[in-house]
Amino acid sequence: MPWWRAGPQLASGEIYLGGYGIWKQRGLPEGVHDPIWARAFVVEANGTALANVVLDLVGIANGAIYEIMDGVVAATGGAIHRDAILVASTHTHAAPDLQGLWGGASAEYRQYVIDRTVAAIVEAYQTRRPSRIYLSTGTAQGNNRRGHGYTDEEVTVLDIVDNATNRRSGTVVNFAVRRAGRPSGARWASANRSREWG
Amino acid sequence: MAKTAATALLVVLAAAAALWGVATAYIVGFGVRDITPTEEMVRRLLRGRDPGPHPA
Repeated sequence: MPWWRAGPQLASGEIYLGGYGIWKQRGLPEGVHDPIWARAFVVEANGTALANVVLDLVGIANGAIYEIMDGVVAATGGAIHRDAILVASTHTHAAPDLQGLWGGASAEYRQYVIDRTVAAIVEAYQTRRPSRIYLSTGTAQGNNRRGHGYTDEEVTVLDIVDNATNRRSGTVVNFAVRRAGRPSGARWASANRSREWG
Repeated sequence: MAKTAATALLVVLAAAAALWGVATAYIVGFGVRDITPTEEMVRRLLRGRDPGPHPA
């Protein structure tokens, strides 16, 4: 298998962090600074369920995404359709490389992420409750490090309130920010600020 | 005039009720999992050195 093929499954236990340098240049990580997460929410309306999961990863290869989709469809008995599952990454530059661009991650860890991501979505589906969704958008100062003329500065907020309790059950914030808060030489796994948003 | 105003009010109320119905038709759930490499995985990365306590 050529090393540049997306999503290589290393036979060893190695896990490289994605985001900086060329293949394995960064070296192996030195440990974990703070946990990384798979956060999922499921919205169902008119009998159709839409799943959205956000991973603290720099990115994830499509092969792994397909396995997540297949896992969710199987676990929900097809209640969530394959084309109604959105998998996103925060693009932290301090999480294992599941794209296979910076050294890759072990097959064991890849499967671990797939299994737990499926579990997060299934938990969201199984714990869903009648709710109200409030939507708001605004803007915040963006910082396009490459100096491009256009920067997406829109902030979108979904606030979900449980109908039965009238209490907030969750809030989803979407803002295009580059999660590279640690220097390129840092070799600790980290969600890179997304906990503050969590 | 009064009849027109009453009809308009009814239309507004009906529209508001319809919107409320749409707004309350959602069913939402959340799920979270820690995907940090496990202690065992980190220990292997560190080639036997102590990774310290797992943060999760």
